[in-house]
Amino acid sequence: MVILTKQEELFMLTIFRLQEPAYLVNIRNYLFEQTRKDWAFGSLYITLDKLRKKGFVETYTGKPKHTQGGKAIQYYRLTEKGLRMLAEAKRIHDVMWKGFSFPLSKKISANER
Amino acid sequence: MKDKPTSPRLAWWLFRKFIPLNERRYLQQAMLEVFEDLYTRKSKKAAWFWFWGQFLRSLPALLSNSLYWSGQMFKNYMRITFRNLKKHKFYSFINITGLAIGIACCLIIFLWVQNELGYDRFHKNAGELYRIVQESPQGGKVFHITVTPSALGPLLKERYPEIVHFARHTLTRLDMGREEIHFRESVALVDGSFLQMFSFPLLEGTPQAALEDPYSIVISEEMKEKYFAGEDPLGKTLRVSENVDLNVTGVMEDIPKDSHLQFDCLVPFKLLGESGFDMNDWGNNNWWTYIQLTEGASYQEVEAKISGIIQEHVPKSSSVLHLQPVVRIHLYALDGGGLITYIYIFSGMAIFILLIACINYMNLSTARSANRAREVGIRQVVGANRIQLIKQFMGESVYYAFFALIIGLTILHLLLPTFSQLAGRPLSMDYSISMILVLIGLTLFTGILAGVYPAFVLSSFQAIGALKGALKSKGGRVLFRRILVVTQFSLSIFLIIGTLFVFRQINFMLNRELGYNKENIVCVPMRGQLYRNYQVFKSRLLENPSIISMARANTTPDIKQSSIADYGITWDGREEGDNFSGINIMGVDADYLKTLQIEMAEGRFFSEQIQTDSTDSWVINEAAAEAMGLKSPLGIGVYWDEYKGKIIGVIKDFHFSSLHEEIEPLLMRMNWGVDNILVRIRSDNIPATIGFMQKTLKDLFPHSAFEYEFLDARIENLYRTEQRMEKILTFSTIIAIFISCLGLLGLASFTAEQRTKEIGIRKVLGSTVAGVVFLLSKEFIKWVLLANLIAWPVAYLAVHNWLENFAFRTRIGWEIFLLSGCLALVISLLTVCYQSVKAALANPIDSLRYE
Repeated sequence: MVILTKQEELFMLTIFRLQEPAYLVNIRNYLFEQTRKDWAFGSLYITLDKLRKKGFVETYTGKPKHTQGGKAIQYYRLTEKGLRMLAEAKRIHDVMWKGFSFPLSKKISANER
Repeated sequence: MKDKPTSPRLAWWLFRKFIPLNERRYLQQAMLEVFEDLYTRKSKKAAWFWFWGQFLRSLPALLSNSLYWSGQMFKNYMRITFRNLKKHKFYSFINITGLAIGIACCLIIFLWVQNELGYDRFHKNAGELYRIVQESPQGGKVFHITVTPSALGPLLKERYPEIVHFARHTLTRLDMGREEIHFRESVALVDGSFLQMFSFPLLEGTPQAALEDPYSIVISEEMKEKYFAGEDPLGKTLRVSENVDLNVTGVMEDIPKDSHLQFDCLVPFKLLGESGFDMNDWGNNNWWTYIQLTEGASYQEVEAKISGIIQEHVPKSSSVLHLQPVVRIHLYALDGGGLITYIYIFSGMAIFILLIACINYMNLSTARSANRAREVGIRQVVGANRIQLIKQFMGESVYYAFFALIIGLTILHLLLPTFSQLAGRPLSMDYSISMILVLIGLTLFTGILAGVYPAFVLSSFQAIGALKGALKSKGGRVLFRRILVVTQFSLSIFLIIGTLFVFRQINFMLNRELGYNKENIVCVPMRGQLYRNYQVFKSRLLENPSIISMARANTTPDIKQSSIADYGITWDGREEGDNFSGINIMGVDADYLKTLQIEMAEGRFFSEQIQTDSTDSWVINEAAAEAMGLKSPLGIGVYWDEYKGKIIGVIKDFHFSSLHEEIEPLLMRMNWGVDNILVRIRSDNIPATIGFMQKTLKDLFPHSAFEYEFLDARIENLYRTEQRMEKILTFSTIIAIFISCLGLLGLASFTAEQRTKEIGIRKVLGSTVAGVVFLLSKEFIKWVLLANLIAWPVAYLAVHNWLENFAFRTRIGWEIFLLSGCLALVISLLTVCYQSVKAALANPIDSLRYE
């Protein structure tokens, strides 16, 4: 059973949520907006590369844009397998988080006692 | 676009170093995009700052990733190496054995060199200690002597502030006794400062005070055990020469083996003064003078200051003083050469052997490169670049070298005791940090040396050709391989020739007619009471029929001892300015001629019956007659100090020193300083005769120990260095040949393997076994013959050079060259033969059935 790490989950969700074709720069920007954490391109790249090797993410090269100095960009998108992994992650997530609040509600505390 | 944003170049360069291309590309792009954005929106500084921050934070992830993949590749390379090693056991065996022996040889020789270079370095002030030597030109030659007048030391100390200490030193052997214990010990007479200059640690007593009193003695631990077993020796007395009592004032640790100064005990120099000896004399050259300079003093300056001192006191002398660093005494002979030559020769040999082993590896790996071609092809197709392939194959050879190191260390430990004996030094292997560094360095060096050429060859394959299997050996490579084999065999033949000549020269020296009969002569040093009672001793001994005759002389005939400088002597009719260059002087008694069986050329020898023989007669040798320019020497008067007289006879030349030297002029005086007894005995039942001599001596003088040596053993000792060299050379040569043959065996079996089909077809078409064997061997014969042609001239020069060291040398005969060549040829043929015959005998059905 493969469980996604939090980081992998975050990256995959970012690719999922982005309205435009996802690549390193906009993934990083989106992550920054949501988490306020400044990710290093290196770890971003390596993580995405591992996901690609696991088959959750695939890459494709876009048409060379003028602004890039004529170089092709490597875009990321989720695979079928990746989407299924995300669904599974969400299920586990929901099950695990169900009923959690902090401070603890009286009902649960009473039950525990 | 006038201010096109430029990103930090250094960061990119580092990026390129660490991260493989395919990963770098998109990452780079993305980072540049943000960078350019920052650059235009904010400032150059902010962009740069951001960029470097990004770069540094990215590194750990990127690095660990790339390390992970290197690790994977490393595992793969290891696995492939092991598989190859196991699959081709025979070739791996040849490679690893060769390298292992090569490494073991290098290590052994390294240990030996380290040991020799470490001589005399244990003294705390080793760098500031010097011995004063004299250099004097005489008759066109320069003579070096290490002894100096006794007055020199004190004068130097007084005159030059740079000289902190001086110590005069001389060695003698004296009888020592305490109660019933009597031995003969080697005694060093030294000045008081000796123990402060040299670090011979005292177990008891202090270096400053131990030699203060003239009647004191510092003994070694070994001597303490002998004379004072279990007692405290301090304050007790030892009796020397049966008449002087000395107080033990110190006990020192036994002298280390790696010291050029060797003695059993120390006695103050002052003791000589007590016995009425002139301690400040310029006329004698009997003492070694050691000095210690202040730290940091330049020895060249001191040397320049003192060089002319002898002339101030002995105006006629032509000798110049020099300083010889104590740490160089063991290694460098004063007139050039010395042990250091052998150190160079043996180091060279170690490198030769390692080189031969590396050549084996190169040859086998490249010859068999076709086996690896597919692997290389596949690696290239999946994206390996040339650098990676080179790294892989270099790595492989380093692994091999590492295996070889392990086996080599085992060999080393097995051989070390034998080699210690051979070298005459206790060698040991300790695994200190520096030793381990040497081991690692040696392994890397061997691996890289062996692997660099195969790596370049293997990595240069074209993927398409390699995969198609259409790989042909390139002409250039085959040629290079041949050159390597020829080099290997040239080195081996060179070593064979060298060994044979050393062997021959030693035989030559040991068997040469010396002009006297050296067999069955026992040398007994004269001492104490023997001086006065020699005649009694002699008549007692001669009662035994096994003892033929006895004589006395000032020295044994293997070493010359005293000489007179050209200005010290004159004779009737000597002309001013002749090129006479001094003469050796020897004291003998009337029986010398008879005992050594030397022949007279003219006149007669000394005789007991003629009174004047011991007071005014000389005997000279033929060389002296010639050097003095005397046509008819008999009756000529010769004058040396208070010794005067007429020449009564000329003896035929005989060798009175080692064969390194010419026979020099010799002057003989009757009963002059005779303190060695030479006894000629019968060759049968030698032990009984020796026993008789010992018993007679004990009966006459109960307190003296009997000490004897055979003359021929002493003479053999003169050539100890050469004999040692002969043994080491033989050993290295055998190893070199063995490794070369291993390589040849590998190549031969490879060739036979490759030509299996050809041989099958030849046999089907009617070729004979002999024909096939010849076909397979002729190539190797060609190589070995070529190697001979290369090795001969080089070996000739080397041998010629080495023989220059000897005044009497064996002829450089062509037969040895021919013999060495034949030997190499026969050995290589035998090696190749097995493989060729095996291939030739194979049933053609087997070799052709797949077609």
